[in-house]
Amino acid sequence: MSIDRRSFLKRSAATAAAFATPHPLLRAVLGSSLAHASPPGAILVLVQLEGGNDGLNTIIPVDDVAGFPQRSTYETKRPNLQVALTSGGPTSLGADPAKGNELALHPQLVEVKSRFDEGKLAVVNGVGYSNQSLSHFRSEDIWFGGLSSSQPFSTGWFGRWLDSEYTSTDLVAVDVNETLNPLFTCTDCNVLAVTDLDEFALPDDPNPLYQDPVAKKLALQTAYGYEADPLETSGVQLTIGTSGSVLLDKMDVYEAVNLGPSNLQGLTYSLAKRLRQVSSILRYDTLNPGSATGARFFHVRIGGFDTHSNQGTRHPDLMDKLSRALDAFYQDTVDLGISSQVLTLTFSEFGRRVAENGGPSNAGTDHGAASVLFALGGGVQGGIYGTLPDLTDLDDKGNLKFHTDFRQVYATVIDKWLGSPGDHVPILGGSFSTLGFLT
Amino acid sequence: MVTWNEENVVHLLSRAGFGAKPQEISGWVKRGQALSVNLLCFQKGATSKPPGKSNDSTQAGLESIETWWFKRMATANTRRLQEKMCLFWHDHFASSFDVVKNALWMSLQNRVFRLHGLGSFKTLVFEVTRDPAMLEFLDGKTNTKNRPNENYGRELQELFVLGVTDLNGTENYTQNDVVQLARCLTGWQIVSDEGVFTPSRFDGGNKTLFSGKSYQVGPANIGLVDSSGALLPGPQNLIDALFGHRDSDGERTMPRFLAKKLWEYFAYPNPSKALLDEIVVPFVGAGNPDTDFVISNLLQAIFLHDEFYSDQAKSSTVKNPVEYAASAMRALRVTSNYKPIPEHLLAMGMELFNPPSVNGWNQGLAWLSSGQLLSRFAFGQAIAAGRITSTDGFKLVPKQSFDDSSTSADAVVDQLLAKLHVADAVPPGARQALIDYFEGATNFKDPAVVEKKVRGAIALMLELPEFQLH
Repeated sequence: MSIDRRSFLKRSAATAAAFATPHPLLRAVLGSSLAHASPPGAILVLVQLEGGNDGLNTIIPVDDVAGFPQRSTYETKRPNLQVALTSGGPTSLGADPAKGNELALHPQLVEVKSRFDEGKLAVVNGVGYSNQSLSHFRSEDIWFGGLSSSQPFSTGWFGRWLDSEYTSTDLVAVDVNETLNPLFTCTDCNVLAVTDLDEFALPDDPNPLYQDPVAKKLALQTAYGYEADPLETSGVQLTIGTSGSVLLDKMDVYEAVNLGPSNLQGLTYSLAKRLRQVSSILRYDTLNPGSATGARFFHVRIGGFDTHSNQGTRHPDLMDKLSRALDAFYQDTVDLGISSQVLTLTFSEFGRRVAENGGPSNAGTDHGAASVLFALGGGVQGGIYGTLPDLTDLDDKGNLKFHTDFRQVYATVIDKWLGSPGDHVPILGGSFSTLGFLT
Repeated sequence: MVTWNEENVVHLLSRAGFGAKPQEISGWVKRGQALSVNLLCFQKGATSKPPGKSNDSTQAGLESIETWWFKRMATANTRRLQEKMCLFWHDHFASSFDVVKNALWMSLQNRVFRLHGLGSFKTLVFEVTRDPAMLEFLDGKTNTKNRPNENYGRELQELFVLGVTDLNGTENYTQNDVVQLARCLTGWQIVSDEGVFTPSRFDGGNKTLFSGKSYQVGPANIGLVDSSGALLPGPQNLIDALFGHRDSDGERTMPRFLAKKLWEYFAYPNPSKALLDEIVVPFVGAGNPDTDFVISNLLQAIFLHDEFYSDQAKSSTVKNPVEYAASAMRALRVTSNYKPIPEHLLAMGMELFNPPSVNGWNQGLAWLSSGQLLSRFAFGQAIAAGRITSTDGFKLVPKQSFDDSSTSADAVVDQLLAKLHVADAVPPGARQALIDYFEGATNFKDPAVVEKKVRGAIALMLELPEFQLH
């Protein structure tokens, strides 16, 4: 049985009730076609927070409880960067599942807080790995590679998933990115990496007298056909020939995808624009099942999280952008009637040090260890997963200790969202216990 | 030494420069290998710098320094390796305009690479450390005794001089070394567009680097300059301490690290340890940071090595966007005012002065992700269709690249493939597709055929996998 059908069937009973009413803006456009729309199966959107997101200012302790002076420790270590919060405030999440302190989201995470209240957002505390690397590049390699921190990077965890489930002529993953993210590095898979689908087309001579698109496209496709033939070329030539050939074939399919109406429309920053590309593909595929692109796996990233200085101004802005964009994208999936098919997962290469550096005008934080992540979607079991690590029991570098290995998160996604129990073991090179934010 | 022929000259000029112009090849062949390599490697530092203005953080300011520098690379002659090394150092000692927000500082950093990029590595490291763009980019200017900031110190070890691990995978330094290094680097500020050392901000206490190792330095007041601004003599000098680091084989770490990076840039990935240990010999010399570790010596060793001319080193590496664009323009004698260049470089993934992170650009096949490959096609199309030069654009004169008295498309295709140095590599089926593209045309003096089919074929050839490689 193909992966699409397997996962769709598993969820079809649970999801009937999860269909929300389409947003009025789209209702007129979708009309009766929604009744015939067939959602494309389990969809995954990975949102990378590049630079090391400060988890401690994302999910924040509000108070002290007996035995766990989380708030007062937080305030002592962060005289300038501490976020003011009142008990039971607008972004309050409730009690830490183990320690009991009240936890809250950063005040700018207003929109995702609403999703939390609806049970569609899971926040996961204390995520990291042992032998934490404090180097961006090494730690990214670890998160992208999905192996232990002592193993060198070779293929991406998602690249290995694609290799195991798809062939070299499939194209089911899109990286809305300038350059292909290493989490997709694989042996035999294809991933489209474009920042804007409008630019996914062949250029032609600007002078209309000399435009020759038909003959040129034929020549290019024919030539690349030979370049992709292992009897004709080898090595790097063959690699470029092969991926170029698939690209040329898929170009016609993607040509039909256009932006369309979206809740992301008013947001002009990079993350929102990139999520809108994802949303456009999902919209097209949902409304045109007969000529769908078949793309189901996406990656986008937002930079700027490496807040060594001036975190007080930079981080709240990032939280605001993240919250608005994630939620608008989620709303798009609700309007399309596919929210229960779409899982959005954030991740970052590490958190940041508990103690701030610098002074009142420029305080920031250095690289840290354990951080947090979000899982958002109609199929998510919302809630707080994992305790906020003890701020009085830091590692020898002054960083938060992890309790949830990042590979547990990947295992949860692989086993419960993309595949079946146990599927994660060959992909991650080991067995990891899964979390409850998916069933 | 290898047979000094056109193939090897084209290879050298492609790697040590930005591609061979057709009319210059025979001159370099005549010159012979030793003299050619020597001429390229041993150029005096140049003081030229891009025209960046003070405090200019505008897009126009960025584009003006980008076009200045690209033009210099695309038209370089005897100083081509010096310019290529500017590009290498810019990727290695990465700083980005988006963070630095100052076109003058980016220009000054570019000049550091041009002035010191072939000379003493100790001098280069020192000048980069106190360079305003770098002080801004990696928070060196806020690193003080009372509030140390680890950003630059970490990257100095991790990315610039030692690497995270040595050739055996053993870690080169600890987090404690990062902390100690940060202390050694305190005290620098940017004053009047210069990196200035202020003793009162400097942590003058004793520091220990590589504690417990045979090459431990300190406890001592390790730093860069004394209170008069003179370079501290080693072993007090931080750079001397870094250069003294030994790896798990007992070999000097920095030369192997630098040699590997340069070999991978100019030849192919994963060179053997034996090869690296060969080429570092003239670079290490007597091991005195003040007189040895001259970059030209390492480059000369690379370009004189037979392995540099092996099959593995040829047509194996993806050209970066600057190399792709410049080599196409040089091979086809394209003229331009270079104004369209910044937009093309951005689309291809290499906006000059704006590397994506302190790790520089992702090289190799990463350049050819779908969108970026298509952007190369768009550039190739733009120059192939280039018919103007005075306004924003390119000018290509097809007749300069083929013989218009030819009577068959086969001949024309072969001439053009030869001009682009890919004739031997393109598979027969692809060559035939290019011939078929001419749809039977035989009169190459007919302007309609030239404007449509010859230019079209040039664009197609620039899109083939072979032209992406060198």
